[in-house]
Amino acid sequence: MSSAIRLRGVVKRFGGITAVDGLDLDVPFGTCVGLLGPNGAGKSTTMKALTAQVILDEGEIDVLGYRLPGDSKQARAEMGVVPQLDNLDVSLTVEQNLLVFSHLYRVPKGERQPAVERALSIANLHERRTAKVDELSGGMRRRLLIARALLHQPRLLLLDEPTVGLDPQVRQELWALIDRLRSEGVSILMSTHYIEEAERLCDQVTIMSHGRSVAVGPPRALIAEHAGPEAIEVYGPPAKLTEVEADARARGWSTRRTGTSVSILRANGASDLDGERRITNLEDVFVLLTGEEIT
Amino acid sequence: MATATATGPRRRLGRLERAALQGVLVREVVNYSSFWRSSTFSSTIDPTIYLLAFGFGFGSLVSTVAGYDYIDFVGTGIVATTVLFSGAFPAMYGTFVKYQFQHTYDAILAAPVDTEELVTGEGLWIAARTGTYGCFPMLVAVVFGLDPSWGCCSCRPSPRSPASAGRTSGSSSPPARSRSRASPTGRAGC
Repeated sequence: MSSAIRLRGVVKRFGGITAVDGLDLDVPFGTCVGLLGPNGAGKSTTMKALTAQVILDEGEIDVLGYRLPGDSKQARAEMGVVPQLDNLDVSLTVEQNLLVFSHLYRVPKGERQPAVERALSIANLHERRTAKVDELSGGMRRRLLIARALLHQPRLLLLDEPTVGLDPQVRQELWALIDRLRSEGVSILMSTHYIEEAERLCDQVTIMSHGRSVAVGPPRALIAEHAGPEAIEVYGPPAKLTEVEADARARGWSTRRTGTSVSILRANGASDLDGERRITNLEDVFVLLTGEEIT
Repeated sequence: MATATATGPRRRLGRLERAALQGVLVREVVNYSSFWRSSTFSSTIDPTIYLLAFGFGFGSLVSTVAGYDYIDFVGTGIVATTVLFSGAFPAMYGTFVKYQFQHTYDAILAAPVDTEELVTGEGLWIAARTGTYGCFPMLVAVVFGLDPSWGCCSCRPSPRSPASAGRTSGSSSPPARSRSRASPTGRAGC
């Protein structure tokens, strides 16, 4: 089976800065793939390249079998895009926003109203249909933004940081929505820097750092491969933490700082260490692979 | 696999597609429906005030300008400035705000609309809106005595509109003018 999205050797430079540096990426049909990476790793540039709003310097992109940028319009007609920045028309009502985009996405005349109704149910905004976007809460706006991208029933959905800046309840609500879409067979590429989000939703994760992919695989496999089954978290004053860190490194274990503690990974349950034992997670992998320093 | 389908023959979409232009225009029309009152108010009241000021004010002092009847001169000039301003402002500030702050164009370009279609659609809309707004001061000027002939719309460098062709050039006095045309500017001149 071919992929909904296929990137090979993608390079994009902005002046002297190389934002994307030889990225390969595949999104198989019907799966949800997460693009994880710290700020500035090249996630947003990659997302923009998929709608041909960024033109590559090198490499190739195929989206739904269309070669970009030449055939990007056909590809865009069959996919939905949820941008990172809210770009709804704020002076219009919920319904008007959806109606306008049913035209832009070329929904045939007789199907526009049903498409708007369907989008309203997806966003759960039937009661607020005549409210102006200005009057909506952040969560409602985000739901509307996602529903707007689904008006033309796309086969592929691009989500650029879909839950950034939202409270936990709204985030969970959106996760449920994204999970439902995937179960309906929509292929999803999602960029995020919320690790929990990727761990819960994605079948495959690509971890990006400095414009390259540093790890690819299902979240559980990545955790098993890079972080091992268990982490030992040692708390204490900074001096002790440094000591523990050096000791662990000397014994060939990986460590990562978690703010107030040091997590020791791949220690295989060493019984002489005094600390809290917890199950490893994707965040451990993320920090191990993308580095602890903020660059 | 994917490359095989990508290189196969496929329908090239046209450069300016009707569906895309229509989408851009529908967005503008729906948006306009939310602010047409304020926009129309300023675009009609503004030139009317100019017409009144220049008509009653200057009109009492000036009867002809460079061989043109004063009302022809002021009337067509106000139409031109109205078209200029009601076109330039949405084209400059409106598009800049949509581009830079509201990210509207990002949203439109993520749909199957290409840049040339977006630019054409936006241009068509601004032109249509501006053309309509240009008619308001023209109608007001007609009420004030502008001769509604094609001559007042054309750019021909003919020094006279047909209505004033019979008069002697350049030196018609205000009393003569107010007799020949019962315009507010003429009365103001008395």
